[in-house]
Amino acid sequence: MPAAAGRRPETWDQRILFAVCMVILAVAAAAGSAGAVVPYQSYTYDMWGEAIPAPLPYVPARAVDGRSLGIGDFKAPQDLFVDARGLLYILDTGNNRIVVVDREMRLLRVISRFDINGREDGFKGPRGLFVTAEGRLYVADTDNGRIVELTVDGQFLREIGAPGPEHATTFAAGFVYRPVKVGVDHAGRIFVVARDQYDGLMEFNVDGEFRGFVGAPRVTPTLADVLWSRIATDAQRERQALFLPTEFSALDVDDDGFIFVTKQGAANNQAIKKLNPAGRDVLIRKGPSATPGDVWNYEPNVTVTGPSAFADVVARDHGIYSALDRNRGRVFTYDENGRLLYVFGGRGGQWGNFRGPVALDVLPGNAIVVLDEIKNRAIVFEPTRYAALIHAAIALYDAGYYDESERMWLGVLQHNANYELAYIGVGRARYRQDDFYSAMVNFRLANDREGYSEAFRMYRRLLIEQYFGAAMTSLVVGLMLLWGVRSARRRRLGNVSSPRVNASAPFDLATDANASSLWLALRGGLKYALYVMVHPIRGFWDLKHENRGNAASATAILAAVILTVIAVRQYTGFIFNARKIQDLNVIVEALSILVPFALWTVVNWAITTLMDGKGSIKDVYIASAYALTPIVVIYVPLTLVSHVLVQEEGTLYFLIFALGLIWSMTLLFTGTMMVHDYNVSTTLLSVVCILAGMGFMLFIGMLSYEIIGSATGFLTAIYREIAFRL
Amino acid sequence: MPTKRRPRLIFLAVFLLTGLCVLPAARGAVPAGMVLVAENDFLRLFIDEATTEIAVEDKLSNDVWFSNPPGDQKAKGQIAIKYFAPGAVEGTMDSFNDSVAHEQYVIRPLDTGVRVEYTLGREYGEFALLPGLISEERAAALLERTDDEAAKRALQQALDRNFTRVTLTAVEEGAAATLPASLRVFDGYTLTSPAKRLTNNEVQRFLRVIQSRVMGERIDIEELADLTFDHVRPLIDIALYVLNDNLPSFIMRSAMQAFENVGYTMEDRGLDNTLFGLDPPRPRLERFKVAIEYRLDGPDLVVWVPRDSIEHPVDVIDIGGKYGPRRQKISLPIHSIRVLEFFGAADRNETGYMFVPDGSGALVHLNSVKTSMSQYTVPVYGEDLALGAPLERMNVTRRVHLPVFGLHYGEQAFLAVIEESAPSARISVAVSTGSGSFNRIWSEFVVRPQSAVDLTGEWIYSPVTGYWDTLSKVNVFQYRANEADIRLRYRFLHGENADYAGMAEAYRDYLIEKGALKKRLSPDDEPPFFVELVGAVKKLVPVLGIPRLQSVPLTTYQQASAIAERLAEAGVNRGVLRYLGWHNGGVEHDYPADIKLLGGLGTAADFRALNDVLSGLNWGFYPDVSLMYIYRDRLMDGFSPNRHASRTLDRRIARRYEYDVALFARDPDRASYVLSPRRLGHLVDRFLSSYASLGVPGLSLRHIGTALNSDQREELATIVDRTQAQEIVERQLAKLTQTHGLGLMINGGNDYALGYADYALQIPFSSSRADIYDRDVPFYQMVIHGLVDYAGEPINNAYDPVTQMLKTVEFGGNIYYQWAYAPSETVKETKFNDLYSLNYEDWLGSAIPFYLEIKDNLQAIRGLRMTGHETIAQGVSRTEYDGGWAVLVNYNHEPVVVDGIKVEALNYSLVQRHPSREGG
Repeated sequence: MPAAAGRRPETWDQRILFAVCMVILAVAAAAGSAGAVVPYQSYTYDMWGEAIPAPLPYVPARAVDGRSLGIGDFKAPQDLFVDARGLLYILDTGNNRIVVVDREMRLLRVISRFDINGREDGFKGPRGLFVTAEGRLYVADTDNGRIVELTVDGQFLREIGAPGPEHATTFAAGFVYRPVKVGVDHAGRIFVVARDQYDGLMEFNVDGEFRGFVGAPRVTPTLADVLWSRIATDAQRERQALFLPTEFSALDVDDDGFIFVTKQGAANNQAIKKLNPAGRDVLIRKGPSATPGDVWNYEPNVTVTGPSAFADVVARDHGIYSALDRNRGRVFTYDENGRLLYVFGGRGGQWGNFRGPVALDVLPGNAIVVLDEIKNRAIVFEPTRYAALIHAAIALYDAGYYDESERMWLGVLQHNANYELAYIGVGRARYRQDDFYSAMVNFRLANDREGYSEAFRMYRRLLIEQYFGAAMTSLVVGLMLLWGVRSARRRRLGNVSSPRVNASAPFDLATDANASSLWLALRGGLKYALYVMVHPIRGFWDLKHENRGNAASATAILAAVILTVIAVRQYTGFIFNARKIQDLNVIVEALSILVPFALWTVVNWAITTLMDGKGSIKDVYIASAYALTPIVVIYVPLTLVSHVLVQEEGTLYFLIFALGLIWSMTLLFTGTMMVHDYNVSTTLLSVVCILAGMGFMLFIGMLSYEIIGSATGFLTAIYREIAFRL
Repeated sequence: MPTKRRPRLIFLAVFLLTGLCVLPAARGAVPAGMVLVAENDFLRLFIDEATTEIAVEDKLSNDVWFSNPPGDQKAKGQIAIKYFAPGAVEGTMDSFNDSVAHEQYVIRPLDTGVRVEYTLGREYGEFALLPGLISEERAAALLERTDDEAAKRALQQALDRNFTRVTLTAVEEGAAATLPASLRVFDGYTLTSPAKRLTNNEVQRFLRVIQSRVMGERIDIEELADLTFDHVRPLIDIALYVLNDNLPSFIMRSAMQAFENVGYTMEDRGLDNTLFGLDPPRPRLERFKVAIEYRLDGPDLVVWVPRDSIEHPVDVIDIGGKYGPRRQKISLPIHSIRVLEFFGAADRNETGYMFVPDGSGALVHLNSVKTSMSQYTVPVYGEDLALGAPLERMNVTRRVHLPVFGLHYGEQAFLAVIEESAPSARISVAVSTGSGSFNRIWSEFVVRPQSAVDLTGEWIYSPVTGYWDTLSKVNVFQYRANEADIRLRYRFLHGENADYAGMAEAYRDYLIEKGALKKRLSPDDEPPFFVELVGAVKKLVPVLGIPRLQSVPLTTYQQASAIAERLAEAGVNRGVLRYLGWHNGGVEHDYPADIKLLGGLGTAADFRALNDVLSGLNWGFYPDVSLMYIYRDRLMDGFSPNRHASRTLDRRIARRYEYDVALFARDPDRASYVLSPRRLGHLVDRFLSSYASLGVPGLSLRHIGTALNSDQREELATIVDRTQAQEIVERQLAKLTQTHGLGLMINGGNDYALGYADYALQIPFSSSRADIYDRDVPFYQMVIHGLVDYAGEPINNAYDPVTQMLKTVEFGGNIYYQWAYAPSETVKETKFNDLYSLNYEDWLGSAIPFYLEIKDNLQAIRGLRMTGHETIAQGVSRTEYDGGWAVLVNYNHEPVVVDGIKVEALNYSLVQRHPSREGG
């Protein structure tokens, strides 16, 4: 048994859970629509926001519609709910009735009329319903402006109308109370989403009294907003007040009393919230994209555009939640950390996709039921083996069955080798088993730098423990050997002093007649660059006035800088290299150095000429290139070192990284000062001017790029038209 | 409450009456008004000479089929066309309203049938017979023409009420001219009326009417400036009747009727015009000709629209400027022809279904009204990518592989086979949505593919249509019309055979009769185990910062041998290996004119060794190649996209795309070229000369069984329409199999390719399940089971492998896996990341026992015809075969007992009934 076994909690609850997981797995796969075409594809998002194909997690199994239940077609139904016993309540809005079906999708009853103290009453356009664990049915009777509480058999208990007149000041004049969604927590508090109500959920206490708003989307004004409100006229301010916080579209209450809400309209990072009893959003958003739903960052030429728009949300076990995107008819499921587990569903005129998806809930056996207001039916989706494995893996991990969880994750990987969460799961298990190398491999496949770093730290420690003695011994022995060899050699050669060039006087160039002058210039220049690095003032002064530098070595340094930057991008260790290696493009990288450098040099020369600078453009070029030496000197070893650092040591890494940059910038500044023979304040002024000039040049460049682009487009269009008409 | 009951009673009465009227007609022998035009041993063909509707009587069963539901006023017409006019104007015409109603048709008897020639579109405009100007003298003469007092009176009345009597006379000396500039041609003249004194306004109004009639009926006048006094001179001092302006059309119609009743003809109308120097009335532009032939061919009715009978206006002069500038030369090409939309159309009282060949086949129950869909259309053989790849792909659908459809009600059924022009056909099905609407299924044929070209290239989102669109769109058409005739064959079924199984049998018989399908498997062989191995894929790897595509080996030649040997050891005696991505760069290989083995996969010796190992094991070996789509263009490889790829109608190079799974948009990184069918023969020859040296007996063709694309180049000589493309593909298949003796494996399987294939993989096991469908049926399997070995999707790629295994058994397929030797995560972060569960080790454990079990259990039904299929309980299906064999499949998680036979959970069982009830 692996080490983890000892930590396994052994309560009855968890044993039952374990058994349940196994059963779920055994009966996974939908029997109803065996093997038929499923009209949608599935995917997950990787850390770069790219959709990666995935196996189908859920497949349509059967449909529930009014005709097959024998009660006539549904008419634009708006909500459904699965109660604690697994009964499905469908709110058939257009027919003002509630249809209750059992687990086998057989009709149990229809609730349309109820009796209020001897007076018969009914619903009018009801749009939301909720059933508590105690068997109380709450209906948002929208057009009657009330919440109706019934027993699950349809016996009237009470009605909760609009907030009383004492709250009049809370609401805008002319506000008509139209509750559209309702939810009730364990304490009996009633939460209502009302139409045209932008202040959050309306909260009613157990007695049905209005208590205030919960989860109000807080408007944080941006700097621009603040500035604008200072200078805006009253009329403008009034108009601005119309940009109201958004409305909620649906809510659900989970077993721990948290309220999940979805925002109406296009999704942003606040589209789904998890409110604690105090009304604060406690949702964790650790996924690659903070905005739930589809990643929408470009405008493809398609009919369905824009980000997701959530119509409903359902809280599931283990902090998992699923939300229904009305825009593309998809169900997105996230784990408790906000990482996307799977996606399914689509729009269209085939069995198993939607035209107007409005609500969803989870049936016993982890099946998901989605209501379609246009197709007038509810479709039950059953998990495939793949999704069942994912759920089982999460449940087992939560219960402390780590090894069983790993087995599930390995099963998931058999179905989908792209699934990063499974690699994380396996990685965590391997970490627990002290198999750090394997954990590293899995975390790396998962693109999980945090986990990788953790595993690497342990692995590094193991290595050091294992090899520290041997390494130190061999180091000492090696050094001694080296010393021995050298002293022996010295003894053999006699007391001839070594002809080494003194580093402090690099300009004493060896006059080797056989070497070409370019080689000499290069060697001398590079050595001088190292000297300038540590003696900037004297170095740059002599550079200009003693002609110590040369263009060849400057160009070499520039080339080295470009190579260094590329090497940093490509060869920095996994933990510190968040970029997609496949997308690396050497030309773009080189240009990212060359263009600013060229701009700097040219603008520097142009501006300083006007400001009595003494340096020629060649001087500026040489000095600027020499100033970049620290980048090469520091980043090359840093890139090597990044392979042995872990994330906690990242501070050190980034400190050195920044040091290289600051050093270069300082040199650039000093260089400018010395080359042009400026004092500090003149240099400051000129640097500001140069930066402004560079910005201006960039602007001009971009402008001409735009113009050339438009002109090309125009000419292409003309060419096409001519070619076509002839 | 009697008030409430009455509408119901009325409804009931109407219902009964219509029922009484329709039913006897539908069931009776020969309806009144029809005449017998042809008869053979099986059928009698009748035609109604007044409406050109036909009826066919099956002499054996006495079933009568009508081309149009008898007695119905709306479901008329045998042919309907859609045509285009300049400016993206679209028009439709049908043989009833635009031909029969004007008696513009000719019925010609043929040896075995009858031909009806229609001229669609009346010759003159609707009110062409009503003169706008007529002299009093001529009017008086007309009145004298007839002795019929009533007709005389009617004409006099029309003249009095709808015309105004005026005379154009010179202004008396001294009177001031008060005409506006637009009427200056009448300077010096005015109008007088014998009946009353005209006000100045009335004078101007009638002058305008006269002026516009003169301008409208003279070709030589284009605008006001062209009008001179000479043009109006013939009118001067003549007593005129001028037709009032702004008359409602019913008055115009009755006035015209009055003229017609006294014998006024188009010649008279021409004479009246020439009297005033005007042109005779111009015929309308929209005149089309189409003929349809009905022939009896043994037990079949063959419906034929000969290509050369289709005529449309070419370079006619649009004198009136109806479609743009006046006197422009225009053509009105016919886009498509709809044939026999209402043949056998079933009304609201019938029960039965329509069969759509979508995927494996689907049924639409009659009158099963769906709330969200009442009509659906599927293109035969999928879309033609040379007409432009779709901008997006939102849904997973199946294709139509077989060009057939059918309808069944009561005791009768028909199967229609599209014999010619199938590649340009679309099949539509519609359910009745209420009274007067029929359940029907029909085909429509594109005569000239059309697409809209945008010329500015700028896309603008239209909030009205909800689509991205361009502002300046121009309709473009295939340079010439498709050359093939349109031919449909209707076969009639009765009684026990009148169901979809009977249709499948009829179609299977038809294919065998035609020689298109023959038995290629021997029933004594063990069933094949299809193993598809993926050799290499490409991956983007940066080399010194430069991204380069490198081949990533997934299964080397040696590893392939090892997998085959391992399976053979486990008892797979009859494996069939398909090898994907084994040459020229992997799965998305280069132009395959010259085969280069992949160094990363092994040496040529390794490849030969693989071939030897497989032939030693007696396995089939089918290396795969993509001949229709070219993934990559390299210099000097014999393929130039400019010259050898198909062109779309807007003259771009035709491409095929993969689509983004999340946003549905085209993925420009995964585009391939559509090889022009013109080039296909050349490529096949070059490929073969290179392939022959490898000595492999088989070949797998990736797209040829499913894809069919035309080439829309603008030159007449190079254009290849889709039917011609099909002929080219067939020639290549014949060359590969007959001339070079290769065994072929295809993907999918359009009807024309099936006859050449040893094996068909990835054939559909379901339909697209459009909302209008009520049920999926294994029609495709019924046609080919026992003739060709087939398989569906790879079992390990299905969403549920166990279900897919059961599905395979249910649909009579064979075991099929797609594997690779390398770990599955090798493809992660490549563009082949959709191959996410390929590692063979993961699947071997379940695949081998399943195969061995099937081999033992289902050998008996191999080679038999599939005769029936039904769902007998929730999650339990029964597939029947000849000889009383049946396979029961249980998808439930608990055992079931059906007909006294227990089927275990997620299992199947083969049973044989007493062969008393064979077939059917």
